[in-house]
Amino acid sequence: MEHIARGTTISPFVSLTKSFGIARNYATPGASATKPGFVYQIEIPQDRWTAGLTLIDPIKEVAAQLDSFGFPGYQHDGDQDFLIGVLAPQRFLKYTRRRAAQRPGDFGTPRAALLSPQLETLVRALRDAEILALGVIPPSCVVGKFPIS
Amino acid sequence: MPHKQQILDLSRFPSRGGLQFVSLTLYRDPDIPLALVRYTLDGVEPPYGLRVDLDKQVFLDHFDDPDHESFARQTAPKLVELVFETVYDGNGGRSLAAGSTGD
Repeated sequence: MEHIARGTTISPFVSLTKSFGIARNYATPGASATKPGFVYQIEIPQDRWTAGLTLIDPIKEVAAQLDSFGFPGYQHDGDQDFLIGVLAPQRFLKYTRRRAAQRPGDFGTPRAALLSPQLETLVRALRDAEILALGVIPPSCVVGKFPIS
Repeated sequence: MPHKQQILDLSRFPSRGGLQFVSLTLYRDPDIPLALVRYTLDGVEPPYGLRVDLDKQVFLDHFDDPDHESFARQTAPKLVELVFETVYDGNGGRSLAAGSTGD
């Protein structure tokens, strides 16, 4: 979860994406006509997964550990647009800062909606259409290279 | 896809151990949640900058030097806060008023 949500470098995983658009965006900063960025297309046959390489769907991995009915759980307790703020805080930060509604008669410290590390990880993985690779990706699996400028 | 670039000046940000952040380039219209930070080491600007993820508030590229890396990790949220305050009005609004723009 730290790898996906917080970008920690203390991680054995490599992040891949199933979206060319997202890969292109990662290759864009600093790219120019004279110094392009590159998107690499990788195809990994399933029989290679056992040869020191494992692919992990982070959504399934995190979801399998979730407690759906416990407290506080992974669910947030904000409004419907709270998730927009989590997904794109640059543009919609105000939705994460909004005070969470409380039932009439409830007391307690005014606060924003709850955001669990699990939910944050799910949102970030979905944002990037992310797949994690654990192990070495053989050069033979690189089947395309696309310059981005 | 071409983006409009918006550049924020970072030269007034604190430096440490010869590491000085110089500028932050945003890629807009359409916006992407990644920016490029240029920096100098002992006054010399390397050919490549550092990408920063504005949603996660972290650098995606890293220094080998642990002191520089630590300083960069501490600085990343401040850079994102600068973007929030000067570009998105600190509240998710849209503004192209700050910094310079170009194709």
